[in-house]
Amino acid sequence: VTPDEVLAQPPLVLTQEQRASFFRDGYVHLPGFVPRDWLTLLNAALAESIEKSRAVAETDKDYVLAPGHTRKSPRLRRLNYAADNHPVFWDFASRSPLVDVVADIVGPHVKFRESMVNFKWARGGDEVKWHQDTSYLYTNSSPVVTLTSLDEVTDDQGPLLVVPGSHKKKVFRRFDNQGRWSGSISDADLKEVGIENARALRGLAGSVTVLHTYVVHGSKRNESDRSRPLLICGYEAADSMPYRSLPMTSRYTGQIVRGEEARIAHLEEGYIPLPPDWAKAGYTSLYEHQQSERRKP
Amino acid sequence: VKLEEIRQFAPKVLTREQCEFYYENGYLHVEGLISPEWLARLRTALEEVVEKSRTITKTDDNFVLDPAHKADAPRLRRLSYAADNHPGFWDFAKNSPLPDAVADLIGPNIKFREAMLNFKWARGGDEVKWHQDTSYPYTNTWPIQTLTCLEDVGMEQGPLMVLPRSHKGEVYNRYDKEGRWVGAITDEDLKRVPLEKAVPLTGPAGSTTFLHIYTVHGSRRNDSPRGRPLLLCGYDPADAFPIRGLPLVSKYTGEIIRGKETLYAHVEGGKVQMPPDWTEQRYTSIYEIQQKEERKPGYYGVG
Repeated sequence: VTPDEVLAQPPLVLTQEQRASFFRDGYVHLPGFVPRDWLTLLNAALAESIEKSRAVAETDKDYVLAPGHTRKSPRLRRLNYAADNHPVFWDFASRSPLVDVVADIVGPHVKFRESMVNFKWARGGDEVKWHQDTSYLYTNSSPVVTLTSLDEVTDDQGPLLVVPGSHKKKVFRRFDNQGRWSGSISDADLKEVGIENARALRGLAGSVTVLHTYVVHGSKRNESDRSRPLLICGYEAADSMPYRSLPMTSRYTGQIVRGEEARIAHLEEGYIPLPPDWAKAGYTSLYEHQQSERRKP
Repeated sequence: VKLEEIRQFAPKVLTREQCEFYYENGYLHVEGLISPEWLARLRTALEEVVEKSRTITKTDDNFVLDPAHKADAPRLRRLSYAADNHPGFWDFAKNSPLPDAVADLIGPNIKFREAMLNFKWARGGDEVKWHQDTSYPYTNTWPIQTLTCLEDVGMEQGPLMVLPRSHKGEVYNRYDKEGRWVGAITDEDLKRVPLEKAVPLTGPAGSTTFLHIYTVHGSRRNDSPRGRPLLLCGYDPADAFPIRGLPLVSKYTGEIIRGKETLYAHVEGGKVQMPPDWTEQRYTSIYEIQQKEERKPGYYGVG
Protein backbone atom coordinates (compact mmCIF):
# COMPACT_ATOMS: atom_id res chain seq x y z
CA VAL A 1 0.00 0.00 0.00
CA THR A 2 1.07 3.57 -0.63
CA PRO A 3 0.36 6.58 1.62
CA ASP A 4 -2.23 7.75 -0.88
CA GLU A 5 -4.03 4.41 -0.75
CA VAL A 6 -3.97 4.52 3.04
CA LEU A 7 -5.27 8.07 3.20
CA ALA A 8 -8.10 7.21 0.80
CA GLN A 9 -9.56 4.84 3.43
CA PRO A 10 -11.64 6.42 6.19
CA PRO A 11 -9.67 6.55 9.45
CA LEU A 12 -10.70 4.59 12.54
CA VAL A 13 -9.22 6.57 15.40
CA LEU A 14 -6.81 9.15 14.00
CA THR A 15 -7.77 12.38 12.34
CA GLN A 16 -6.87 12.83 8.70
CA GLU A 17 -4.43 15.53 9.81
CA GLN A 18 -2.68 13.11 12.18
CA ARG A 19 -2.30 10.56 9.41
CA ALA A 20 -0.99 13.18 7.01
CA SER A 21 1.48 14.36 9.66
CA PHE A 22 2.79 10.81 10.02
CA PHE A 23 3.62 10.64 6.34
CA ARG A 24 5.06 14.17 6.38
CA ASP A 25 7.09 13.94 9.61
CA GLY A 26 7.73 10.20 9.88
CA TYR A 27 6.00 9.92 13.24
CA VAL A 28 2.82 10.77 15.08
CA HIS A 29 2.54 11.27 18.84
CA LEU A 30 -0.74 10.56 20.62
CA PRO A 31 -0.69 11.88 24.18
CA GLY A 32 -2.63 9.76 26.66
CA PHE A 33 -4.08 7.54 23.94
CA VAL A 34 -4.28 4.22 25.79
CA PRO A 35 -7.50 3.81 27.81
CA ARG A 36 -7.03 3.58 31.57
CA ASP A 37 -8.20 -0.05 31.78
CA TRP A 38 -5.62 -1.19 29.29
CA LEU A 39 -2.93 0.81 31.00
CA THR A 40 -3.70 -0.83 34.33
CA LEU A 41 -3.45 -4.27 32.74
CA LEU A 42 -0.19 -3.40 31.03
CA ASN A 43 1.39 -2.09 34.20
CA ALA A 44 0.37 -5.23 36.07
CA ALA A 45 1.99 -7.33 33.31
CA LEU A 46 5.07 -5.14 33.54
CA ALA A 47 5.29 -5.63 37.30
CA GLU A 48 4.96 -9.40 36.88
CA SER A 49 7.69 -9.44 34.25
CA ILE A 50 10.03 -7.50 36.51
CA GLU A 51 9.19 -9.82 39.40
CA LYS A 52 10.11 -12.79 37.24
CA SER A 53 13.44 -11.23 36.33
CA ARG A 54 14.63 -11.65 39.90
CA ALA A 55 15.29 -15.29 39.10
CA VAL A 56 17.33 -14.37 36.03
CA ALA A 57 21.05 -14.11 36.72
CA GLU A 58 22.34 -13.71 33.17
CA THR A 59 20.99 -12.11 30.05
CA ASP A 60 18.99 -14.72 28.15
CA LYS A 61 16.81 -14.68 25.06
CA ASP A 62 14.01 -12.93 26.93
CA TYR A 63 15.66 -10.69 29.49
CA VAL A 64 18.47 -8.28 28.66
CA LEU A 65 19.86 -7.31 32.05
CA ALA A 66 21.40 -3.95 32.89
CA PRO A 67 24.69 -3.82 34.78
CA GLY A 68 23.98 -4.00 38.51
CA HIS A 69 20.97 -6.31 38.19
CA THR A 70 20.45 -8.44 41.30
CA ARG A 71 17.71 -10.63 42.65
CA LYS A 72 17.03 -8.04 45.31
CA SER A 73 17.12 -5.05 43.06
CA PRO A 74 16.32 -5.79 39.41
CA ARG A 75 17.75 -3.57 36.71
CA LEU A 76 16.59 -4.38 33.20
CA ARG A 77 17.35 -3.08 29.78
CA ARG A 78 14.86 -4.99 27.75
CA LEU A 79 12.29 -7.73 27.78
CA ASN A 80 12.38 -9.34 24.34
CA TYR A 81 9.38 -11.16 22.90
CA ALA A 82 7.04 -9.30 25.25
CA ALA A 83 3.95 -10.81 23.61
CA ASP A 84 5.27 -14.32 24.17
CA ASN A 85 6.24 -13.59 27.73
CA HIS A 86 2.94 -12.24 28.95
CA PRO A 87 -0.53 -12.76 27.44
CA VAL A 88 -1.59 -9.21 28.29
CA PHE A 89 1.12 -7.84 26.02
CA TRP A 90 -0.16 -10.01 23.20
CA ASP A 91 -3.77 -8.99 23.87
CA PHE A 92 -2.75 -5.38 23.75
CA ALA A 93 -0.69 -5.85 20.59
CA SER A 94 -3.39 -7.79 18.76
CA ARG A 95 -6.77 -6.55 20.02
CA SER A 96 -6.48 -3.14 21.62
CA PRO A 97 -7.19 0.26 20.06
CA LEU A 98 -3.46 0.35 19.27
CA VAL A 99 -4.18 -1.86 16.25
CA ASP A 100 -6.68 0.74 15.04
CA VAL A 101 -3.95 3.35 15.11
CA VAL A 102 -1.67 1.09 13.10
CA ALA A 103 -4.43 0.32 10.59
CA ASP A 104 -4.92 4.06 10.11
CA ILE A 105 -1.27 4.28 9.08
CA VAL A 106 -0.42 1.05 7.24
CA GLY A 107 -3.87 0.28 5.86
CA PRO A 108 -6.58 -2.20 6.82
CA HIS A 109 -4.42 -5.33 6.55
CA VAL A 110 -1.97 -5.42 9.42
CA LYS A 111 0.76 -7.91 10.22
CA PHE A 112 2.40 -8.20 13.62
CA ARG A 113 6.18 -8.31 13.70
CA GLU A 114 7.56 -8.12 17.22
CA SER A 115 7.16 -6.66 20.67
CA MET A 116 9.48 -5.80 23.51
CA VAL A 117 9.70 -3.66 26.60
CA ASN A 118 12.53 -1.14 26.85
CA PHE A 119 12.97 -0.26 30.50
CA LYS A 120 15.48 2.59 30.54
CA TRP A 121 15.96 1.99 34.22
CA ALA A 122 16.26 4.78 36.77
CA ARG A 123 19.71 6.32 37.35
CA GLY A 124 21.62 5.28 34.30
CA GLY A 125 19.20 3.67 31.85
CA ASP A 126 21.01 3.56 28.53
CA GLU A 127 21.28 6.12 25.85
CA VAL A 128 20.02 4.87 22.50
CA LYS A 129 22.09 6.39 19.72
CA TRP A 130 20.58 7.87 16.57
CA HIS A 131 19.33 5.23 14.20
CA GLN A 132 16.61 4.18 11.79
CA ASP A 133 14.76 0.91 12.25
CA THR A 134 16.63 -0.92 9.54
CA SER A 135 17.73 -4.08 11.32
CA TYR A 136 14.80 -5.65 9.46
CA LEU A 137 14.20 -5.08 5.78
CA TYR A 138 10.84 -5.32 4.10
CA THR A 139 9.80 -4.95 0.49
CA ASN A 140 8.25 -1.58 1.21
CA SER A 141 8.52 1.18 3.80
CA SER A 142 5.27 0.40 5.63
CA PRO A 143 6.82 -1.13 8.78
CA VAL A 144 6.16 0.92 11.91
CA VAL A 145 6.95 0.62 15.56
CA THR A 146 4.56 1.84 18.18
CA LEU A 147 5.98 2.97 21.51
CA THR A 148 3.58 3.05 24.40
CA SER A 149 4.80 4.75 27.58
CA LEU A 150 3.71 2.77 30.58
CA ASP A 151 4.56 5.62 32.90
CA GLU A 152 4.80 9.36 32.57
CA VAL A 153 7.83 10.49 30.58
CA THR A 154 9.56 13.68 31.60
CA ASP A 155 12.59 15.48 30.20
CA ASP A 156 15.06 14.08 32.70
CA GLN A 157 14.13 10.49 31.83
CA GLY A 158 15.60 10.54 28.37
CA PRO A 159 12.44 10.85 26.30
CA LEU A 160 12.32 9.57 22.73
CA LEU A 161 13.88 12.04 20.31
CA VAL A 162 12.66 12.11 16.73
CA VAL A 163 13.93 14.09 13.74
CA PRO A 164 10.84 15.18 11.76
CA GLY A 165 11.04 14.49 8.05
CA SER A 166 14.25 12.44 8.34
CA HIS A 167 12.47 9.36 6.94
CA LYS A 168 12.54 11.04 3.55
CA LYS A 169 16.29 11.68 3.43
CA LYS A 170 17.89 8.32 2.83
CA VAL A 171 18.50 4.95 4.37
CA PHE A 172 21.76 5.19 6.30
CA ARG A 173 24.25 2.42 6.89
CA ARG A 174 24.72 1.33 10.49
CA PHE A 175 28.20 -0.16 10.32
CA ASP A 176 31.40 1.20 11.84
CA ASN A 177 34.64 1.84 9.95
CA GLN A 178 35.70 -1.75 10.46
CA GLY A 179 32.55 -2.97 8.77
CA ARG A 180 30.94 -4.18 11.99
CA TRP A 181 27.28 -3.56 12.74
CA SER A 182 27.17 -0.62 15.14
CA GLY A 183 23.43 -0.18 15.27
CA SER A 184 23.78 3.59 14.95
CA ILE A 185 24.24 6.19 12.24
CA SER A 186 27.85 7.37 11.87
CA ASP A 187 28.84 10.88 12.99
CA ALA A 188 29.64 11.78 9.40
CA ASP A 189 26.16 10.75 8.23
CA LEU A 190 24.52 12.48 11.19
CA LYS A 191 25.52 15.84 9.70
CA GLU A 192 23.01 15.14 6.93
CA VAL A 193 20.23 14.29 9.35
CA GLY A 194 19.72 17.59 11.13
CA ILE A 195 19.44 16.24 14.67
CA GLU A 196 19.28 19.82 15.94
CA ASN A 197 15.66 19.73 14.77
CA ALA A 198 14.83 16.68 16.89
CA ARG A 199 11.73 16.81 19.02
CA ALA A 200 11.47 15.24 22.47
CA LEU A 201 8.30 13.22 22.99
CA ARG A 202 7.30 13.58 26.59
CA GLY A 203 3.91 12.80 27.95
CA LEU A 204 1.60 11.14 30.39
CA ALA A 205 1.46 7.40 30.86
CA GLY A 206 -0.41 5.80 27.99
CA SER A 207 0.97 8.10 25.31
CA VAL A 208 1.67 6.36 22.04
CA THR A 209 4.21 7.26 19.39
CA VAL A 210 4.17 5.65 15.97
CA LEU A 211 7.47 5.71 14.10
CA HIS A 212 8.11 5.24 10.40
CA THR A 213 10.77 2.61 9.74
CA TYR A 214 13.16 5.20 8.26
CA VAL A 215 12.65 8.11 10.69
CA VAL A 216 15.84 8.91 12.65
CA HIS A 217 15.39 8.60 16.39
CA GLY A 218 17.25 8.01 19.64
CA SER A 219 17.13 8.91 23.30
CA LYS A 220 19.40 10.12 26.08
CA ARG A 221 20.40 8.36 29.27
CA ASN A 222 17.89 8.30 32.06
CA GLU A 223 19.50 10.10 35.00
CA SER A 224 16.27 10.47 36.93
CA ASP A 225 15.00 8.41 39.85
CA ARG A 226 12.25 6.85 37.79
CA SER A 227 12.50 4.21 35.08
CA ARG A 228 11.00 4.87 31.67
CA PRO A 229 9.33 1.63 30.59
CA LEU A 230 8.17 1.65 27.00
CA LEU A 231 6.22 -1.13 25.33
CA ILE A 232 7.29 -1.43 21.72
CA CYS A 233 5.06 -3.24 19.24
CA GLY A 234 6.05 -3.49 15.58
CA TYR A 235 3.77 -4.03 12.60
CA GLU A 236 3.75 -3.72 8.86
CA ALA A 237 1.22 -3.75 6.04
CA ALA A 238 0.24 -7.29 5.09
CA ASP A 239 1.69 -6.76 1.61
CA SER A 240 5.14 -6.02 3.00
CA MET A 241 7.46 -9.05 3.01
CA PRO A 242 10.74 -9.43 4.87
CA TYR A 243 13.72 -10.36 2.70
CA ARG A 244 16.40 -10.59 5.33
CA SER A 245 16.27 -12.78 8.42
CA LEU A 246 14.57 -10.81 11.20
CA PRO A 247 16.46 -10.01 14.40
CA MET A 248 13.59 -11.30 16.50
CA THR A 249 10.98 -13.78 15.43
CA SER A 250 8.43 -15.26 17.75
CA ARG A 251 5.45 -17.48 17.13
CA TYR A 252 3.38 -14.35 16.53
CA THR A 253 5.70 -12.84 13.92
CA GLY A 254 3.88 -12.59 10.62
CA GLN A 255 0.48 -13.09 12.17
CA ILE A 256 -2.30 -10.98 10.66
CA VAL A 257 -3.90 -8.97 13.47
CA ARG A 258 -6.27 -6.99 11.27
CA GLY A 259 -7.71 -7.70 7.82
CA GLU A 260 -6.36 -10.46 5.63
CA GLU A 261 -3.15 -11.97 4.41
CA ALA A 262 -1.90 -10.44 1.18
CA ARG A 263 -1.53 -12.52 -1.93
CA ILE A 264 0.15 -9.66 -3.76
CA ALA A 265 3.35 -8.23 -2.33
CA HIS A 266 4.11 -4.56 -2.80
CA LEU A 267 7.73 -3.73 -3.61
CA GLU A 268 9.22 -0.24 -3.49
CA GLU A 269 12.15 0.45 -5.79
CA GLY A 270 15.48 1.05 -4.10
CA TYR A 271 18.99 0.08 -3.10
CA ILE A 272 18.82 -0.60 0.61
CA PRO A 273 21.86 -1.10 2.90
CA LEU A 274 21.79 -4.60 4.33
CA PRO A 275 21.93 -5.34 8.03
CA PRO A 276 23.79 -8.51 9.07
CA ASP A 277 22.06 -11.78 8.32
CA TRP A 278 20.77 -12.35 11.84
CA ALA A 279 20.08 -16.01 11.19
CA LYS A 280 23.84 -16.43 10.82
CA ALA A 281 25.18 -13.59 12.96
CA GLY A 282 22.83 -13.89 15.94
CA TYR A 283 21.11 -10.88 17.42
CA THR A 284 21.41 -9.82 21.04
CA SER A 285 20.08 -6.32 21.47
CA LEU A 286 20.54 -2.84 20.21
CA TYR A 287 22.11 -1.82 23.50
CA GLU A 288 24.83 -4.35 23.24
CA HIS A 289 25.53 -3.58 19.62
CA GLN A 290 25.64 0.13 20.20
CA GLN A 291 27.80 -0.17 23.29
CA SER A 292 30.14 -2.75 21.81
CA GLU A 293 29.59 -5.20 24.60
CA ARG A 294 30.03 -8.85 23.80
CA ARG A 295 31.03 -7.85 20.35
CA LYS A 296 32.89 -10.62 18.67
CA PRO A 297 35.86 -9.91 16.43
CA VAL B 1 21.85 -4.92 -10.48
CA LYS B 2 20.62 -2.95 -13.40
CA LEU B 3 21.14 -3.75 -17.04
CA GLU B 4 23.27 -0.66 -17.67
CA GLU B 5 25.58 -1.73 -14.82
CA ILE B 6 25.91 -5.28 -16.12
CA ARG B 7 26.77 -4.00 -19.56
CA GLN B 8 29.81 -2.23 -18.13
CA PHE B 9 31.49 -5.58 -17.54
CA ALA B 10 33.12 -7.37 -20.47
CA PRO B 11 31.60 -10.85 -20.84
CA LYS B 12 34.09 -13.66 -20.18
CA VAL B 13 32.64 -16.76 -21.82
CA LEU B 14 29.68 -15.48 -23.79
CA THR B 15 29.71 -12.90 -26.55
CA ARG B 16 28.14 -9.48 -26.21
CA GLU B 17 25.58 -10.54 -28.84
CA GLN B 18 24.59 -13.58 -26.80
CA CYS B 19 24.05 -11.42 -23.72
CA GLU B 20 21.95 -8.95 -25.67
CA PHE B 21 19.94 -11.82 -27.13
CA TYR B 22 19.15 -12.94 -23.56
CA TYR B 23 18.01 -9.49 -22.48
CA GLU B 24 15.87 -9.11 -25.57
CA ASN B 25 14.34 -12.59 -25.68
CA GLY B 26 14.40 -13.79 -22.09
CA TYR B 27 16.41 -16.89 -22.93
CA LEU B 28 19.66 -17.96 -24.51
CA HIS B 29 20.53 -21.36 -25.93
CA VAL B 30 24.25 -22.12 -26.16
CA GLU B 31 26.06 -25.11 -27.62
CA GLY B 32 29.68 -25.85 -26.80
CA LEU B 33 29.89 -23.99 -23.50
CA ILE B 34 30.19 -27.25 -21.60
CA SER B 35 33.27 -29.26 -22.55
CA PRO B 36 33.16 -33.02 -23.29
CA GLU B 37 35.14 -33.54 -20.03
CA TRP B 38 32.52 -31.75 -17.92
CA LEU B 39 29.77 -33.62 -19.75
CA ALA B 40 31.42 -36.96 -19.07
CA ARG B 41 31.66 -36.17 -15.36
CA LEU B 42 28.02 -35.11 -15.23
CA ARG B 43 26.96 -38.35 -16.92
CA THR B 44 28.93 -40.39 -14.41
CA ALA B 45 27.20 -38.53 -11.60
CA LEU B 46 23.87 -39.12 -13.33
CA GLU B 47 24.49 -42.87 -13.55
CA GLU B 48 25.44 -42.99 -9.91
CA VAL B 49 22.32 -41.26 -8.68
CA VAL B 50 20.11 -43.42 -10.91
CA GLU B 51 21.85 -46.46 -9.45
CA LYS B 52 21.16 -45.17 -5.97
CA SER B 53 17.48 -44.72 -6.79
CA ARG B 54 17.05 -48.50 -7.08
CA THR B 55 16.84 -48.70 -3.29
CA ILE B 56 14.15 -46.03 -3.15
CA THR B 57 10.56 -47.21 -3.14
CA LYS B 58 8.73 -44.00 -2.35
CA THR B 59 9.18 -40.41 -3.40
CA ASP B 60 11.24 -38.69 -0.73
CA ASP B 61 12.90 -35.30 -0.25
CA ASN B 62 15.47 -36.16 -2.91
CA PHE B 63 13.99 -38.56 -5.45
CA VAL B 64 10.69 -37.87 -7.15
CA LEU B 65 9.70 -41.23 -8.62
CA ASP B 66 7.64 -42.01 -11.67
CA PRO B 67 4.66 -44.21 -10.66
CA ALA B 68 6.25 -47.16 -12.55
CA HIS B 69 9.62 -46.94 -10.77
CA LYS B 70 11.09 -50.32 -9.73
CA ALA B 71 14.40 -51.48 -8.32
CA ASP B 72 15.25 -53.41 -11.48
CA ALA B 73 13.95 -50.71 -13.82
CA PRO B 74 14.32 -47.21 -12.36
CA ARG B 75 12.03 -44.49 -13.68
CA LEU B 76 12.63 -41.06 -12.23
CA ARG B 77 11.02 -37.71 -12.59
CA ARG B 78 13.35 -35.56 -10.61
CA LEU B 79 16.29 -35.53 -8.29
CA SER B 80 15.86 -32.50 -6.04
CA TYR B 81 18.94 -31.01 -4.35
CA ALA B 82 21.22 -32.45 -7.04
CA ALA B 83 24.23 -30.53 -5.69
CA ASP B 84 23.74 -32.05 -2.23
CA ASN B 85 23.23 -35.51 -3.60
CA HIS B 86 26.36 -35.75 -5.68
CA PRO B 87 29.58 -33.72 -5.41
CA GLY B 88 29.92 -33.86 -9.20
CA PHE B 89 26.85 -31.70 -9.61
CA TRP B 90 28.03 -29.19 -7.03
CA ASP B 91 31.45 -29.06 -8.64
CA PHE B 92 29.79 -28.33 -11.97
CA ALA B 93 27.42 -25.73 -10.51
CA LYS B 94 30.29 -23.93 -8.84
CA ASN B 95 33.42 -24.46 -10.91
CA SER B 96 32.38 -25.01 -14.52
CA PRO B 97 32.03 -22.30 -17.18
CA LEU B 98 28.30 -22.33 -16.43
CA PRO B 99 28.41 -19.78 -13.57
CA ASP B 100 30.87 -17.73 -15.63
CA ALA B 101 28.19 -17.46 -18.30
CA VAL B 102 25.63 -16.59 -15.64
CA ALA B 103 27.91 -13.80 -14.41
CA ASP B 104 28.12 -12.52 -17.99
CA LEU B 105 24.33 -12.36 -18.09
CA ILE B 106 23.31 -11.09 -14.65
CA GLY B 107 26.42 -9.42 -13.25
CA PRO B 108 29.63 -10.43 -11.51
CA ASN B 109 28.29 -11.21 -8.02
CA ILE B 110 26.43 -14.50 -8.10
CA LYS B 111 24.67 -16.61 -5.50
CA PHE B 112 23.76 -20.24 -5.97
CA ARG B 113 20.05 -21.00 -5.50
CA GLU B 114 19.28 -24.62 -6.32
CA ALA B 115 20.10 -27.58 -8.52
CA MET B 116 17.96 -30.47 -9.67
CA LEU B 117 17.80 -33.11 -12.34
CA ASN B 118 14.70 -33.41 -14.46
CA PHE B 119 14.82 -36.85 -16.08
CA LYS B 120 11.91 -36.88 -18.54
CA TRP B 121 12.30 -40.63 -18.79
CA ALA B 122 11.98 -42.56 -22.05
CA ARG B 123 8.48 -43.67 -23.10
CA GLY B 124 6.26 -41.44 -21.06
CA GLY B 125 8.42 -38.82 -19.32
CA ASP B 126 6.07 -36.11 -18.18
CA GLU B 127 4.82 -33.09 -19.96
CA VAL B 128 5.63 -29.85 -18.13
CA LYS B 129 2.85 -27.39 -18.71
CA TRP B 130 3.43 -23.78 -19.67
CA HIS B 131 4.61 -21.72 -16.74
CA GLN B 132 6.91 -18.97 -15.53
CA ASP B 133 9.34 -19.53 -12.68
CA THR B 134 7.28 -17.56 -10.20
CA SER B 135 7.33 -20.00 -7.30
CA TYR B 136 10.34 -18.14 -5.89
CA PRO B 137 9.84 -14.36 -6.04
CA TYR B 138 12.86 -12.20 -5.26
CA THR B 139 13.38 -8.50 -4.58
CA ASN B 140 14.29 -8.10 -8.23
CA THR B 141 13.76 -9.96 -11.48
CA TRP B 142 17.34 -11.04 -12.22
CA PRO B 143 17.32 -14.60 -10.83
CA ILE B 144 18.12 -17.05 -13.62
CA GLN B 145 17.59 -20.72 -14.36
CA THR B 146 20.06 -22.77 -16.39
CA LEU B 147 19.20 -26.07 -18.05
CA THR B 148 21.98 -28.29 -19.32
CA CYS B 149 21.16 -31.27 -21.58
CA LEU B 150 23.00 -34.42 -20.52
CA GLU B 151 21.90 -36.26 -23.68
CA ASP B 152 21.15 -35.18 -27.23
CA VAL B 153 17.68 -33.65 -27.41
CA GLY B 154 15.58 -33.85 -30.57
CA MET B 155 11.94 -33.02 -31.18
CA GLU B 156 10.79 -36.50 -30.19
CA GLN B 157 12.23 -36.18 -26.64
CA GLY B 158 9.99 -33.28 -25.71
CA PRO B 159 12.55 -30.46 -25.79
CA LEU B 160 12.26 -27.32 -23.71
CA MET B 161 9.98 -24.84 -25.46
CA VAL B 162 10.28 -21.14 -24.72
CA LEU B 163 8.24 -18.15 -25.75
CA PRO B 164 10.66 -15.41 -26.81
CA ARG B 165 10.19 -11.98 -25.22
CA SER B 166 7.46 -13.25 -22.91
CA HIS B 167 9.58 -12.08 -19.93
CA LYS B 168 8.70 -8.54 -20.91
CA GLY B 169 4.98 -9.19 -20.88
CA GLU B 170 2.40 -10.28 -18.37
CA VAL B 171 3.24 -12.17 -15.20
CA TYR B 172 0.47 -14.73 -15.05
CA ASN B 173 -1.67 -15.75 -12.12
CA ARG B 174 -0.80 -19.09 -10.54
CA TYR B 175 -3.85 -19.66 -8.33
CA ASP B 176 -6.88 -21.65 -9.40
CA LYS B 177 -10.49 -20.68 -8.71
CA GLU B 178 -10.38 -22.50 -5.38
CA GLY B 179 -7.40 -20.42 -4.34
CA ARG B 180 -4.88 -23.23 -4.63
CA TRP B 181 -1.42 -22.73 -6.08
CA VAL B 182 -1.10 -24.43 -9.43
CA GLY B 183 2.10 -25.33 -11.22
CA ALA B 184 1.10 -23.82 -14.56
CA ILE B 185 -0.54 -20.88 -16.25
CA THR B 186 -4.32 -21.36 -16.07
CA ASP B 187 -6.20 -22.46 -19.21
CA GLU B 188 -8.06 -19.19 -19.18
CA ASP B 189 -4.87 -17.13 -19.25
CA LEU B 190 -3.25 -19.46 -21.79
CA LYS B 191 -5.71 -18.18 -24.40
CA ARG B 192 -3.85 -14.88 -24.26
CA VAL B 193 -0.41 -16.45 -24.64
CA PRO B 194 0.81 -16.62 -28.26
CA LEU B 195 2.10 -20.16 -27.91
CA GLU B 196 2.39 -20.58 -31.69
CA LYS B 197 5.52 -18.40 -31.39
CA ALA B 198 7.21 -20.76 -28.92
CA VAL B 199 10.61 -22.08 -29.94
CA PRO B 200 11.80 -25.66 -29.28
CA LEU B 201 15.38 -25.82 -27.97
CA THR B 202 16.86 -28.99 -29.39
CA GLY B 203 20.56 -29.62 -29.36
CA PRO B 204 23.42 -31.96 -28.68
CA ALA B 205 24.34 -33.13 -25.19
CA GLY B 206 26.08 -30.31 -23.35
CA SER B 207 23.80 -27.60 -24.74
CA THR B 208 22.68 -25.11 -22.12
CA THR B 209 19.68 -22.85 -21.95
CA PHE B 210 19.53 -19.76 -19.75
CA LEU B 211 16.04 -18.64 -18.73
CA HIS B 212 14.70 -15.43 -17.25
CA ILE B 213 12.25 -16.12 -14.38
CA TYR B 214 9.34 -14.62 -16.29
CA THR B 215 9.95 -16.38 -19.61
CA VAL B 216 7.02 -18.65 -20.43
CA HIS B 217 8.25 -22.21 -20.97
CA GLY B 218 7.16 -25.83 -20.93
CA SER B 219 7.81 -29.14 -22.64
CA ARG B 220 5.89 -32.05 -24.12
CA ARG B 221 5.82 -35.64 -23.06
CA ASN B 222 8.73 -37.82 -24.04
CA ASP B 223 7.32 -40.81 -25.91
CA SER B 224 10.63 -41.71 -27.50
CA PRO B 225 12.84 -44.61 -26.46
CA ARG B 226 15.50 -42.17 -25.14
CA GLY B 227 15.38 -40.19 -21.91
CA ARG B 228 15.97 -36.46 -21.72
CA PRO B 229 17.93 -35.79 -18.54
CA LEU B 230 18.38 -32.11 -17.85
CA LEU B 231 20.46 -30.59 -15.07
CA LEU B 232 18.92 -27.38 -13.74
CA CYS B 233 21.12 -24.98 -11.80
CA GLY B 234 19.56 -21.76 -10.57
CA TYR B 235 21.46 -18.62 -9.64
CA ASP B 236 20.67 -15.15 -8.32
CA PRO B 237 22.53 -11.87 -8.32
CA ALA B 238 24.03 -11.25 -4.87
CA ASP B 239 21.75 -8.25 -4.36
CA ALA B 240 18.52 -10.22 -4.98
CA PHE B 241 16.81 -11.67 -1.92
CA PRO B 242 13.88 -14.05 -1.75
CA ILE B 243 10.69 -12.45 -0.43
CA ARG B 244 9.06 -15.82 0.26
CA GLY B 245 10.31 -19.10 1.70
CA LEU B 246 12.02 -20.91 -1.20
CA PRO B 247 10.70 -24.25 -2.49
CA LEU B 248 14.12 -25.93 -2.37
CA VAL B 249 16.66 -24.82 0.19
CA SER B 250 19.88 -26.76 0.47
CA LYS B 251 23.08 -26.17 2.36
CA TYR B 252 24.42 -24.39 -0.71
CA THR B 253 21.48 -22.02 -1.23
CA GLY B 254 22.69 -18.44 -0.97
CA GLU B 255 26.37 -19.33 -1.25
CA ILE B 256 28.35 -16.75 -3.23
CA ILE B 257 30.09 -18.56 -6.05
CA ARG B 258 31.26 -15.65 -8.20
CA GLY B 259 32.28 -12.19 -7.02
CA LYS B 260 31.29 -11.12 -3.52
CA GLU B 261 28.42 -10.37 -1.21
CA THR B 262 26.89 -6.96 -1.70
CA LEU B 263 26.26 -4.31 0.93
CA TYR B 264 22.95 -3.34 -0.62
CA ALA B 265 19.77 -5.11 -1.62
CA HIS B 266 18.28 -4.13 -4.94
CA VAL B 267 14.50 -3.91 -4.85
CA GLU B 268 12.55 -3.41 -8.07
CA GLY B 269 9.27 -1.62 -7.52
CA GLY B 270 6.03 -3.37 -8.36
CA LYS B 271 3.35 -5.82 -7.30
CA VAL B 272 4.25 -9.49 -7.12
CA GLN B 273 1.94 -12.44 -6.57
CA MET B 274 3.02 -14.52 -3.58
CA PRO B 275 3.27 -18.28 -3.87
CA PRO B 276 2.58 -20.30 -0.72
CA ASP B 277 5.29 -20.06 1.90
CA TRP B 278 7.22 -23.20 1.01
CA THR B 279 9.01 -23.28 4.32
CA GLU B 280 5.62 -23.89 5.92
CA GLN B 281 4.02 -25.93 3.13
CA ARG B 282 6.18 -28.86 2.07
CA TYR B 283 7.16 -28.54 -1.58
CA THR B 284 7.51 -31.69 -3.61
CA SER B 285 7.72 -30.96 -7.29
CA ILE B 286 6.07 -29.22 -10.15
CA TYR B 287 5.02 -32.60 -11.55
CA GLU B 288 2.89 -33.41 -8.59
CA ILE B 289 1.45 -29.94 -8.39
CA GLN B 290 0.62 -29.91 -12.09
CA GLN B 291 -0.85 -33.38 -12.03
CA LYS B 292 -2.63 -33.00 -8.72
CA GLU B 293 -1.27 -36.24 -7.38
CA GLU B 294 -1.23 -36.92 -3.69
CA ARG B 295 -3.01 -33.67 -3.04
CA LYS B 296 -4.01 -33.30 0.54
CA PRO B 297 -6.70 -30.92 1.70
CA GLY B 298 -5.46 -27.58 2.90
CA TYR B 299 -2.14 -28.05 1.18
CA TYR B 300 -2.37 -25.20 -1.34
CA GLY B 301 -2.44 -27.85 -4.00
CA VAL B 302 1.04 -29.04 -3.24
CA GLY B 303 1.23 -32.81 -3.11
